[in-house]
Amino acid sequence: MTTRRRKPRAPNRQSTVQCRKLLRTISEYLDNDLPRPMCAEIRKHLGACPKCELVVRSLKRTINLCKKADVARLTASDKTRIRKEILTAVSRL
Amino acid sequence: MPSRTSKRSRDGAAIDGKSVAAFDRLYRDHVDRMYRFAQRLCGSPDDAKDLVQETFLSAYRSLKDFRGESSISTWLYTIAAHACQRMRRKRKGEPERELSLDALIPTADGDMPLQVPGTDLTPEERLEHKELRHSLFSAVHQLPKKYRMVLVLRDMEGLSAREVGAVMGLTERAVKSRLHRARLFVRHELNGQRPGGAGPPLQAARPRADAGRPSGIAGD
Repeated sequence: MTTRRRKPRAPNRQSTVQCRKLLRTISEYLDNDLPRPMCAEIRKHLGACPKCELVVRSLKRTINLCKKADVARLTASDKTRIRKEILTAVSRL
Repeated sequence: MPSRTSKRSRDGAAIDGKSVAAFDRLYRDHVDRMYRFAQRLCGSPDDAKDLVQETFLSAYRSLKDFRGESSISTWLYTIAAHACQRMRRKRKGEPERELSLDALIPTADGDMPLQVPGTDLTPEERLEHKELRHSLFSAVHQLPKKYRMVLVLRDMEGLSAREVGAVMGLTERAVKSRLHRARLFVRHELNGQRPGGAGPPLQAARPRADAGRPSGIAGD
């Protein structure tokens, strides 16, 4: 038995324009930097557009990763060495 | 006011007990933060240590001029940003590149459904994976420096857009524009995908005639 595949629908032009407009402002949306009416418009679009919703979710995740990404600390011996080198450099100038 | 027993270096920085004590306080309170920033910015621990040294050396020399118009950490970030630029000029690296917003915005006909790897885990869980952390820093270090600086200051160091603007000498609008491009770039790199599918590496270096020019919603 063969299953009939539905031909993918061409993207709605109006929707694509809206998607691009939204994706240009999405950082400001995630940072709560947009006026309320614009946020409401974006939320409405996201509710109806799973593709944009996915992009927004992954961008939010990227930002969260950046916020949580820690790095190694400077060792006590390096702190002492750098301080000593700074004071030596200042006294030489 | 320097004491009678104090001496001055050629550039006028006092070298006496009082100045050293003031410097030590500054160094003790902020060296960890500055090293963290330097490491995120430079990638290599050795370069980060050089940047910390340059930063605090400059801070020592200009400590007497600090008027408290900004917070001391913002002042140090500004010194570090300038020191970073000086070090970069000395090394004569690649010229600064622009990120094209059009190349970074996903299109409706293919690469929209991108996801950061491991969506079944929380960001905290994923961060425990060395691989993801490595991917993140690798992506951040592929950013052209002016975008990397904005992303590191805003999303990693937690400065406000206004503070980032003060550190880098940019308007808030320009900060937000660069930040948006930087975030989209990192997101793409984390996905291991490129705009347009299996094409050449992401066109970080793609020059645009209108780069840096105001362009409606997200222009500089």
